[in-house]
Amino acid sequence: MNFELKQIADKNIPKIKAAQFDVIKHIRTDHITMGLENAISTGNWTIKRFRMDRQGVTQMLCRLSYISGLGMMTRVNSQFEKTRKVSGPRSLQPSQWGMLCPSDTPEGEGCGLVKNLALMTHITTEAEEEPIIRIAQNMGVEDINLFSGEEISDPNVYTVFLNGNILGLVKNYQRLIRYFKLARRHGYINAFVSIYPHFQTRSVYISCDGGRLCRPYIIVRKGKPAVTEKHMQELADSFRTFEDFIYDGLIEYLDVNEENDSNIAVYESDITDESTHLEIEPFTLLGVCAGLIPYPHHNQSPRNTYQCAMGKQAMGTIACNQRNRIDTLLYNLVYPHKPMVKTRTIELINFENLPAGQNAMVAVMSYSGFDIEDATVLNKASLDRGYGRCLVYKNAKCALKRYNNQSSDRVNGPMIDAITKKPIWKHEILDADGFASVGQPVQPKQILINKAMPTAPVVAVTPGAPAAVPLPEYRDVPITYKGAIPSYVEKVMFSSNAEEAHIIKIQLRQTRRPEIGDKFSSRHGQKGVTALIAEQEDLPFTELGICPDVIMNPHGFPSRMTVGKLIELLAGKAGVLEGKFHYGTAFGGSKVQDVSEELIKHGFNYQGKECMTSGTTGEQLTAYIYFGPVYYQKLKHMVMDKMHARSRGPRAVLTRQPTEGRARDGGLRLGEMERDCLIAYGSSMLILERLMISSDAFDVDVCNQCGLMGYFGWCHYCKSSGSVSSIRIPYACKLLFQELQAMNIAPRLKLDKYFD
Amino acid sequence: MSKSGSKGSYINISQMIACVGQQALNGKRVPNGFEDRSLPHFKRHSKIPAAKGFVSNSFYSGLTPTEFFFHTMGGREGLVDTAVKTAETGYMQRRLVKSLEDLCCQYDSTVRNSTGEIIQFVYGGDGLDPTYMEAKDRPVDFQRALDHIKAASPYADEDPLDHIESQQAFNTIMETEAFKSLGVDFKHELRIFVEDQVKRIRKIRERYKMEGRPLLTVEKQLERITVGQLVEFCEFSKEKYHRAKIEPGTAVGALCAQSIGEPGTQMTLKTFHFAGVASMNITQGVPRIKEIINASKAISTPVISTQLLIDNDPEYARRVKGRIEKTMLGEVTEYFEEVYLPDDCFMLIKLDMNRIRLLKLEVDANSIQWSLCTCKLKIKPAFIKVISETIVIVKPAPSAKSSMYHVMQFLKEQLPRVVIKGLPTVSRAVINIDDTRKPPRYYLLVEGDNMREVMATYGVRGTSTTSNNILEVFSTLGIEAAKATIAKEIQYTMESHGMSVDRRHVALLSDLMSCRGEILGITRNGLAKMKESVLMLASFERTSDHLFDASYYGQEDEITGVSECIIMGIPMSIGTGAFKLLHKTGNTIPPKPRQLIFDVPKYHVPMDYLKVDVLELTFKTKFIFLQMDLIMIILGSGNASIGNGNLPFLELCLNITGISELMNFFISTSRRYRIYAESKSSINSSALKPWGCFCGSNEIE
Repeated sequence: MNFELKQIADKNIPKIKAAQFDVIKHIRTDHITMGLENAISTGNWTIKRFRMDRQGVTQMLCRLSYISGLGMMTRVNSQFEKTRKVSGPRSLQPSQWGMLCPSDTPEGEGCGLVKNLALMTHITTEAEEEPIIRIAQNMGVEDINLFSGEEISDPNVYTVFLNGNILGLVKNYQRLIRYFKLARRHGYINAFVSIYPHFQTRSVYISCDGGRLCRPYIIVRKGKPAVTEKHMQELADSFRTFEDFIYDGLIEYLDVNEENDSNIAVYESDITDESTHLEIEPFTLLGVCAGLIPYPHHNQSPRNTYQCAMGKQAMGTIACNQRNRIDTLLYNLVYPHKPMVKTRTIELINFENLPAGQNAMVAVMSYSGFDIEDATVLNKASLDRGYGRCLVYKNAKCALKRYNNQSSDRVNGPMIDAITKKPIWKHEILDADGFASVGQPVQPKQILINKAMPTAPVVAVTPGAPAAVPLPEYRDVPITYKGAIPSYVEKVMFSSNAEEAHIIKIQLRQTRRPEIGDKFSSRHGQKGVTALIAEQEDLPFTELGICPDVIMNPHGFPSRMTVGKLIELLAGKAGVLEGKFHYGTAFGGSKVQDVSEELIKHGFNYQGKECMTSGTTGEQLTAYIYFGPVYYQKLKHMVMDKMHARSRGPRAVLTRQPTEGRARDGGLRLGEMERDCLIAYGSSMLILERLMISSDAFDVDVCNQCGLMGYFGWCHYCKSSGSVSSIRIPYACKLLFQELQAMNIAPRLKLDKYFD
Repeated sequence: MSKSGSKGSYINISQMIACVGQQALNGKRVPNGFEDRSLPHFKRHSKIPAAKGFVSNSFYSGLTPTEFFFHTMGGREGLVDTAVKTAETGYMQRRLVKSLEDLCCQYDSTVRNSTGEIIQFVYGGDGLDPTYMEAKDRPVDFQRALDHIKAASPYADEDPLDHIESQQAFNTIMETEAFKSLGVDFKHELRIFVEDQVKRIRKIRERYKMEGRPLLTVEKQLERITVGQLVEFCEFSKEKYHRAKIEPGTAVGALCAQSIGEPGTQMTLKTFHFAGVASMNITQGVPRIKEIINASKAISTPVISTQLLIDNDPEYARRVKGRIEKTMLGEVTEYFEEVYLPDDCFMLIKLDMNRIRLLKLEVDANSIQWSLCTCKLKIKPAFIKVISETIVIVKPAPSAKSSMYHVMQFLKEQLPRVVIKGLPTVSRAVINIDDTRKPPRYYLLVEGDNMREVMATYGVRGTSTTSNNILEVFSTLGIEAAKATIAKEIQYTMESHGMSVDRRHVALLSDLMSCRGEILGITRNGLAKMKESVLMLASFERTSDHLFDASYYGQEDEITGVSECIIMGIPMSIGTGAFKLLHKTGNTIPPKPRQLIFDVPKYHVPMDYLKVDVLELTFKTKFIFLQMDLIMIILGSGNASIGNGNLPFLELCLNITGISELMNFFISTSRRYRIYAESKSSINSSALKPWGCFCGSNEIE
């Protein structure tokens, strides 16, 4: 800003003007606003003075599903660059117990650097220092200036720090800590202030600053937890709230440093004489995304991590107001279910009201050979009945701008064909006002908004005559629908924003049925792509006549060790028969024994296996099949969004090579490693064909004398066409040579005969 | 499923049913994240299994919260490894490919690079293709081949041979023409194998006393080999051997790079295998391969393994260790005393003779005096006095910069760190006991650098000293030893992870690294020394630097290597580009005229007129006749000259006055001529255009 002002000042001050130069008039009013807006919207925060260039500080909240939004709220990003290969900051530290979720971390580059908060974590805010200083001084902390060196270095004397600053010395540190904690438990000090001793440096640290992670624990006195049955009863009767527990000194918040000093028992049965605290509930060790997993303590840990990543991609319901929102991309499941096997975390986060999956009847068997390597087989009749059906909402938007010469964009009505008196095909779905009407099916290339923009009119200034604004000409810039398959118009919104320009948003809806290539997963990191949609008649059925919706390959279990899925199937089956939902909470949940008892009570095999008959041959299958309901999620990776092919197509302008990306009808890259494979085969002509002839072959004329490139058989530098030969090189090579020439380097080509 | 081998193994089953086991991070148990304990749920300094990461539950019975946390710590380490390792190994493979890509096996069975320099005289030493190796490094698995022949062609009606006959039969076969062309090694192995079979036949025959009597039918089946089978076996082996020979044009370089790079992806980034010795940990896995390939001067765990002259005496071993290991003054003194007398001040060093004796050091007060004089502190000999066997006095030198007191303090700090015995570059020497042989042998493993000094130490058998630091071996033992060490180290690292790479790939890599006479690493600097092509170096890493330097020095790049050919759009000279394909342009030999059926010779019209016409037409201009190797230039006046090759030199001058003489000349020489006409007055061969073709006995075409 200063630089601009200086420039303006330099320009204006030397000029002789009537008014005095007022700097304030030249300061832009929206400088700070624009700066803040820019920083927050792009997330690139750069401060040149400190050489700080951080990207991704602010991110758009991900609205793929409810869990993805909620999970993003609990995200903790680390400062380390993602490209550092040190594994120290990425590994799971024991001090993250209870504060950060151990399983919830993305795989790949950000593994271990991007973390999520656990369920009961609280981030402290700043507290006033004054009262703490006074209380500490009352408890025996004496100012350090009053002491001599010998007293300071006495082994019994501890230094007391407050937020890193020296407060004083204390002789009996244990007494100080005890009284401090007593005061905190009785509410005299803010509950989030922590105090802990450090033996090596002989100091006691008191922290009351903000930004620390802390977690509530039940206080244990003399081997007995402070919270008794009576208190729990009062909580259930709503006589007490959580805050009351803190004020009454039954629960206290410990941050990581204080945890270091205490002795925590996990269960009530583990309480010894030395225990100082008791965990409230061990399942709060996990975060929101890991809380979705039933029986996570029966799974191998990387599987839990994969599920935490996939749960955020599952399709479901976004929010309660999803009908009123127009998002760029919104995925909805048509018939979402509550999971049969739920966890306490699911109840706490309200997942049951916004679920993201369906309970499918799963048979764990090999079928048809199409289910190799994690592929699944789906039941066609289930798909007909609506299993896995999803809605994809996309939007199209445009703004009608106003221009300086009092003209603005406008929207025209549909163009009527003179002969048939009906709108032309492109404008078929438009209403009289030029917008697509609600409920119409939109085909690709049809127009959604018939917008017209004024062209800049040529204003002829005739001296003398008043400047009459001529009627501007309009040209059409319609908004067309660019998808590959037809959609339906769901909503049209017409509104205006701050600058009085009109904004139009149209929400388009597609209903997609699962097809071959769509990705499904269970809640245990077992993802798979549908490979076959089998008719219901061909699928095996149980004694009761039930056919599976999904067939899963049993080879997915031994090396992955997700025993949690097997137990979920059992518990789900028992739940379906009993009519109640079972719990699969971590370190708790319904026990396998009880669940098996329930199955036996209803006449089923206690192991969950069924005797099935084959659909194709009618004979009984020779093995018992593990059969039951499992909660399956549909993930957002659908084949319709990914399938892509190109034979010939557009080329990039600069390099004349095929474009990149599906949106631009691009080609697939033959990368460096693929080139190495072709070299290893020794197929020299194939490399030539792939990398030059099919890509960017280009004929250049090269002068034999000077070695530079010419055109049309004429060498510009030698001014002759006597020694010009035509060769074929890749266009990228010609581009390289010309770029080098621009840098004053002459790459001269020396041509030889092909054979001598 | 683990029994049939389709999925899973016994460890998966046991983890699901019985017990998950101890979680290991970095090769150790769970570390102490909190002060003196891993989690605040345990007591301080508790070493019980549960506190250090032992999961006693199985996946079926479910993990407790602390067990779950430890298990996740272990699992996270694996995920982090996978994420980090891909980038590391990918880069390593890219470097390997860029440096090895233009190596190709040529038609003279050498391996050369794009400029024609020989990297290996015979690929892999024996010219065999690693793809066709059946047994470990051998092209034919003889036992299996013999069993196959015996089963497939029983030759039921032939008699079995005894040992003498079979040996003779084999010798006869070996003398035949076809077998003479086999490689020496292969013939030798075949011979050994057959002789082994012969021995077995002999043993059986002796055991059952089958000499000199007609054999029972059942006896004929013991170790039965007939002539037909022997012949077929030898043929079969020979066929396999010939098939296993490497084809010229194979891109051995790219294959080698991929064969070494791909197992690198499978190796976990760091696992510590303590290679048999408890306290040594050598770098393993991908970091080690990176060190070897980069030919880094300073590696993280340099180890010199030595053998001793007397290797069954632990005392001797300890003495040699004392000679090599760096011992500091502070380790052998009882105390240092600062003595302040009214007129003098000095540092008193009291040596601990017991300790010296225990460590078997060969030091005494005088040698310590000598070490003090020659150390970095630069204490002059005048300032050191040896009072007795155990007491040495060091007087501080008064210096201008600091007072005596400070000099004393400085001495007090530095004296304990003076090296009195051993090599200063050696940090540790460990005596390794090899228990497998009786009596147990003692080896010395030296952690440190200076191989030359270690070899020269008395008591060490210098001829059996090796190091795992490549540059160290190069400077001490030369380039061939360094090359062998490279191959050995890479093989060792790969094998300790359970992956076996064919030795030919490793041999090619080590040959390439040492082809220039010094060990060049596969980095951007090493590559710049190995290759000459500018475009290839520019396509690897420092693009602008290489291009600018090349333009400054006016460098010329011969487009022979692979990367340059791809950049320029020329077929590369590897694989199918190792040879060029020419095709005939038109049939220059006209077919023989067939005899006409109704031919009447007397109606033949002589073709001279035609010739004359054409020549006359063009006689005024200049002709240049091109023969296969002669050029005749006929000047406008009728002079003809004959030159050589393409150059319009005038060698012979024929004075041809007329067309008919010219024609006679053509016909007499009965060779083929091509006639070129000039377009300009200057005789410039490049501006010639072919005008016609004249064959000595036929018409002008």
